[in-house]
Amino acid sequence: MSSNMIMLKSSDGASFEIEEAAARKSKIIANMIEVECVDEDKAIPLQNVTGNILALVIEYCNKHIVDDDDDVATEEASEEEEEAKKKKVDDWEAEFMNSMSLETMFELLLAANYLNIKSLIDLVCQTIANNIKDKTPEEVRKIFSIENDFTPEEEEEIRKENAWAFG
Amino acid sequence: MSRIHYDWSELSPDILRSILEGLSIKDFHRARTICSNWYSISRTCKRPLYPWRILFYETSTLLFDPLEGELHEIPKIKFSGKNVLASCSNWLLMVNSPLHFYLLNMFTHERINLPSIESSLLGQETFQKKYEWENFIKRTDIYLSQKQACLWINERTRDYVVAWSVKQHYLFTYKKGDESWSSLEGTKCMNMVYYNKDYKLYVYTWDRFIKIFDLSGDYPNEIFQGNPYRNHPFRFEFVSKPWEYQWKQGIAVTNSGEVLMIVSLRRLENKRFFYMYKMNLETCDWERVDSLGGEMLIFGHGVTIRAPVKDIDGLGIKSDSICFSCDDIWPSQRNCGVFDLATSTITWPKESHVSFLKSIWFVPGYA
Repeated sequence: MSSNMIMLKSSDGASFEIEEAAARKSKIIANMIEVECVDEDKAIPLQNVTGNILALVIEYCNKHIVDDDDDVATEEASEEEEEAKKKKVDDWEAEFMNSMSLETMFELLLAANYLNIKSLIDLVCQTIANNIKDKTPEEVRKIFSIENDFTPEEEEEIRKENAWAFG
Repeated sequence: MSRIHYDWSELSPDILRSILEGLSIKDFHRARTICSNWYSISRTCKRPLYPWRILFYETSTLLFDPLEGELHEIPKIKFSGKNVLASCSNWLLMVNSPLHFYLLNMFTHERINLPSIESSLLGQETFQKKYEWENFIKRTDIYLSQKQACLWINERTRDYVVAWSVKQHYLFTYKKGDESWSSLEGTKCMNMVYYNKDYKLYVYTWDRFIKIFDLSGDYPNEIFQGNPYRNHPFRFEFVSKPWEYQWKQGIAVTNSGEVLMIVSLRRLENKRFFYMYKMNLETCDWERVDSLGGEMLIFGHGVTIRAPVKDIDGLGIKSDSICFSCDDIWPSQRNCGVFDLATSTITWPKESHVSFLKSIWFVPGYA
């Protein structure tokens, strides 16, 4: 198990030090490490991620690498322990996403997508899905500033298809 | 901040799909009306299929979504469980006296009327025969359970196929665009299933044979040469133990096109079991199988669906299980249950509101 540290550099020039194991949560960075295009003393430049978002990504990766280690160490953990641990992670994730603005979620999603961190993409997507829950289409359009580009006829047709959901 | 343009409608399709797939079914249906981009992505979403139940009460009908644990009332439509013949995706095949068939969408209440079957009889049969037919129907009542039907419909294209059989004597098929029903004479249908991937209707007959009809052309065409079951009837008494009595038999086709025979047993000590058999295509022997390869079977529909990744809490809705309806087992129940093939146990829904008259499985699809 390596505890090598590597450097990441955000698009706005901020540098972050991160354990290699945590950075490997990103498939893109893991790939770079595999093909040895990571220079020990040089930071990996991430063109598409700003410093404040990268800080969030790193916070997420750090948290999850610790959890993955725990999994290995306590292979014979009882079911209750497993459950307690899962709850701990869930609670942490809920706290992490809590009070995050939609703009930040949007940027975090783009970053997670760019860095290819599947579990983070899923987490943000599910949080956004929870934001849509029980909202009318008009409300959702307003929240996300999406323009309704259907013609009235098209909209009527699609509403009919899904009529029961409006009941 | 202005560097990034927060255009949510232009999120990458994969991400948007992932968000839409995380929605509950009701929110999903609302979300797809937001804009054209969301709508077209929604059509590529792989939402898990899982069986709901329809609960028929004296004066109302409810849909039960096991994942959300929610009941949805079906307003405006009044019908009893008696005239529901079959279901596929969001649609039910219904019949009203006198022999008026139609398809009904449970969510939008859209209705597709099928041509009268009587007029198609009139075209082929003598007046005498028609007279008999009417009497026949009056005497026995079309609501009797001695009827078999199957329905297949494509939510997007609205192509559909319907087959209906009554009292072993008549088997009719109707396909979207047909002028009238086709009659498959001399096929004493006990049970049947339509497999849409190759347009074939599989019929298990009262003399225990499996007949295959190709419905891709203008008229149903029986397949003889390409029917591996032609000389290999499925006779339960040949493969069962002396103390095992069959209650009901059904034919099913899995997602990948394998033909299965399902037997609901009436065993000693009132224990209820289902057995599944598959013909070994090399030896032509019917062999028992205990797995559906991760799928689950809806007994009355004769089709399998990919089981939800996660078991649905406490309802037994999981892979390698058989969802059966009230009269699929002995003795009959009002409720539907799920039979687990691995453990041979039955899980019943845990409901307090059991005052319904009847309930059936229903597997909503996605347009």
